[in-house]
Amino acid sequence: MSADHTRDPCPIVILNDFGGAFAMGAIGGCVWHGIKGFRNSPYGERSYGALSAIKARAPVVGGNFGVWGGLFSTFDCAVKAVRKREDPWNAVIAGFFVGGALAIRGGWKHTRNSAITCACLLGVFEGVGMMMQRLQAQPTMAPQYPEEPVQLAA
Amino acid sequence: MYLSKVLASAVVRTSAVRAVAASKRPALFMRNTVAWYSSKSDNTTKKDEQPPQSILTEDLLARAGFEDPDQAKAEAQGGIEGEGKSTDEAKRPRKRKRAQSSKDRQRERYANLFYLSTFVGGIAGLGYMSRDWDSEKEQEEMDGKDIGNGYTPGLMYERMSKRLGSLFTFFSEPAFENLLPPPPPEAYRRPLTLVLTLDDLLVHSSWDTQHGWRTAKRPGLDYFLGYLSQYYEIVVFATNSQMFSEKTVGKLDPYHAYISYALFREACRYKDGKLIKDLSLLNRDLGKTVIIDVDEDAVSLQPENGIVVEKWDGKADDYLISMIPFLEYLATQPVKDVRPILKTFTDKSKIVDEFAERERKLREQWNKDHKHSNQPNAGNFLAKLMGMPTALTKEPKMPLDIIREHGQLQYEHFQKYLRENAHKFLEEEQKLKDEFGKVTLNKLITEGAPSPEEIAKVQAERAKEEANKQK
Repeated sequence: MSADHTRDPCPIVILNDFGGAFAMGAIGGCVWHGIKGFRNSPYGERSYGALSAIKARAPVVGGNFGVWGGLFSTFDCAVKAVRKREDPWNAVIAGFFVGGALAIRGGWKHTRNSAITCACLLGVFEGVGMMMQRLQAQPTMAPQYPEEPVQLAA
Repeated sequence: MYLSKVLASAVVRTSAVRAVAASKRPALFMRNTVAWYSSKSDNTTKKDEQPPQSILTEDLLARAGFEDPDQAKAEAQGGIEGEGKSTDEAKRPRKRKRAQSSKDRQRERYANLFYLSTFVGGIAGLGYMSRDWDSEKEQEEMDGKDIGNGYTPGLMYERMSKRLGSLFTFFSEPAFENLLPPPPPEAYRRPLTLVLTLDDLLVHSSWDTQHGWRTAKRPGLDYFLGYLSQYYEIVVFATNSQMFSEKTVGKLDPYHAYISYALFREACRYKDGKLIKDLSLLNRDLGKTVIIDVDEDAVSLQPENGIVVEKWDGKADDYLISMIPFLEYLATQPVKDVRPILKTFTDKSKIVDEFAERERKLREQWNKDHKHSNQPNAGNFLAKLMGMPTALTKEPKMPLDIIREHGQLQYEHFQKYLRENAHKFLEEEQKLKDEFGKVTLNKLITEGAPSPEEIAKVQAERAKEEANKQK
């Protein structure tokens, strides 16, 4: 069974990931396009410009993020099911496929390049994550024993 | 998309439309517009050569306002590109390949430069890795004793692969050299060390749509840990990482009375897709260590120490309880090395039945040997006659039962002690948590997180104070 109990097991986690990524993109898109719309509007219409930019663009950003997250999760589950292992290479392989799948309309050259880029990116993420985990793991400490043993069961 | 491309190419054809488009273009595309004019002059000279075209569609298109930025860009790119060969382009505008601006070409050049330098750098790095050993020490660390110096392809490759591999072992080796602190002082030492895996042996996690994740304790777990902790130094060695399993272990043993240490995935060795629990790093005598695991791979380095049992599927069973007699027997025998004993069990997953069978035989033997002691004999009769208690002549107990009784007594004693002092333990822990739990961001940055050494120091001071008070 999966190790991480904060996440659902495989087929369902795709839905979670899609939703999470969509929300992340939509919120981030609100901030980004809010500022952009504000700056690109003439004085007097800045708040309106910001709002309309958010309305027009933020859902798109959310959708893009959501597609990436959902696709990544799908590939991650597929790779797990095929390899029957849980290690960082799953994410790297899934990243490779996601990068490729999203770029496939740009021709095979573009597909290859973005697949490799995406895999490298995921590899760096996983590597840093593992390093953090190892650095945070603390060695077990010996308990302090009193000089004279206390007879507990006397 | 296709339609807009088509439209763009159609608009490119007439310069009149271009002029309109250019004048309407926003300032943002000024640079492009400039490029336009240069191309326009080029176009005007050759305008006469072009065959007359129906202006209806283009004109209409222009008026309809097909001048979105994309299109403008496409036009501009077409303009730059088509500077010298606009007639050529006019003839077959649709066959034109994707427009490529100078920016695009520059980007491509940089990309190629990047790929090339990556490739060359990689080759150079591999070459550097295949150099001679820097020192004897390095050779030893990479365990390449049989790989000598010298620049033959074979040796170079071997050295390179060793060095390359050592870059990745950082992630696959256990995080610590010694997984456990040295054994406790003699007075506190228990005869053996018992290493237990967590998931599917002690607990089982399941997921369903109604409840999400739930983790169940195996029946008899508390008794198992409580009873065996008097014979064994119990170490829980979980397969999952500390982040996920630490809390579970904490819940199994809230008073820290049973489980001496907990180890996690960070302490495992990862090799060929297998998580291996390397007992030789435990800092304990391997002859006095038993590991119970549900995965064959986990004990693959020391199979002679391991008892591999079936995974628990979460249904009620009494397997843990049924394991106790064997483990108890193992710990109470004066053995130097448990491995030969474990070896006598051919199928370790059926160790419980096997041991029960052996015990039954032993008991039979015992009963046979001590049968007559219960028979009425002369001495017996005399004692009765003299009014002596008959307890002396009762059927003698088998040593196993005596051990069992003693263990049970001690267990109950300890449970009583725990019950009486439980609140004290919890209070102490709460105090520690209050002190070290409140880590502000400022403190974390300026002083760093409290290290286990610091916590242990405070704990020791507390214990000393407590002891002084009692005196």
